[in-house]
Amino acid sequence: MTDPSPSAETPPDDIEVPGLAGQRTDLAWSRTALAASVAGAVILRRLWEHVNPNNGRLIVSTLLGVGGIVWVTALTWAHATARTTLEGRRIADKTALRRVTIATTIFCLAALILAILPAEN
Amino acid sequence: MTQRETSNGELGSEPDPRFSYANERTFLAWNRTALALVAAGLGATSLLPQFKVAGGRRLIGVPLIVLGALLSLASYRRWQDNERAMRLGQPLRRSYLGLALAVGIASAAVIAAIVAALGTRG
Repeated sequence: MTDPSPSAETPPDDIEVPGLAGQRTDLAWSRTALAASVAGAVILRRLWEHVNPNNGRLIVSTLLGVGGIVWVTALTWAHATARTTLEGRRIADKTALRRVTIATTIFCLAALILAILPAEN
Repeated sequence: MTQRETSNGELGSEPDPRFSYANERTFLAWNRTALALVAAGLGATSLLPQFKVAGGRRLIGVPLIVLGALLSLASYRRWQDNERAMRLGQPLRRSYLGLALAVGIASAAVIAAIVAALGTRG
C-alpha cells in the first residue's frame, strides 16, 4: 500500500495562504450586489407607481441615483481585486466598505421618504 | 506576522488574511440583511391592505427600514472594531447586532399582529 502523496497544487500547511476564502468573499460581494439591485428596483417601482409627481419624487430619485453610483464604485473595486488563485484577493480597506455603508444608508433614506410620502390613488 | 504600519495608517500586525476575509464577509452579510429590511419595509407600506388603524402600514414598514439603516451603520463599526482587535491581537468584543435584529423583527411582527387584528378597511 502506497502512502497518498499531497497534490502538487496544495500549499503546505505552514504557509498562510487564504485558499478559497478569497473566492468566497468574491461570491459574498456578488450576493450583496444582487441584494442592492433588488432593493433599488423595489424603491424605483414604488417611486414611479405610488408617489405623486412632486418634489418627493425628485428627492428620492436623486438619493437613488447617488446611492447607486456609490454602490457601483464599491463593487468596481470588489471585482477589480477579485482573484481566482489560492493567494486570494486584496483585503478590503475601510474606504471600500465605507462606501457600501454609505450607499446602503442612502437607500434606506430613500425608502424611508417613500414610506412616509402619501401614496397616489 | 510583522509589526508595521498598515495601509490604513494604523499600527498593528497584519492578521491572517482568512480572518480579514471572514470579517469582510460578515460585514457584507449584515448589509444584505439591511437591504432585505428595506425591501420588506417598502413592501409592507405598499402591498399590505389598508388597516383600520391610521397609518397602520407605515407603523409596520418604517421601523423595518430604520432598522436596516442602523444595521448597516453598526456593521461598519463592528467591522472596524474586529479589524483593530485582530491587528492588535486582542479578543473580539461581543456583538449585539444579532440581538438588535431579533428584537427589531419581533417588534415589527407584534405591531403587525396588533394592526392586523384590529381589521382592515372595507
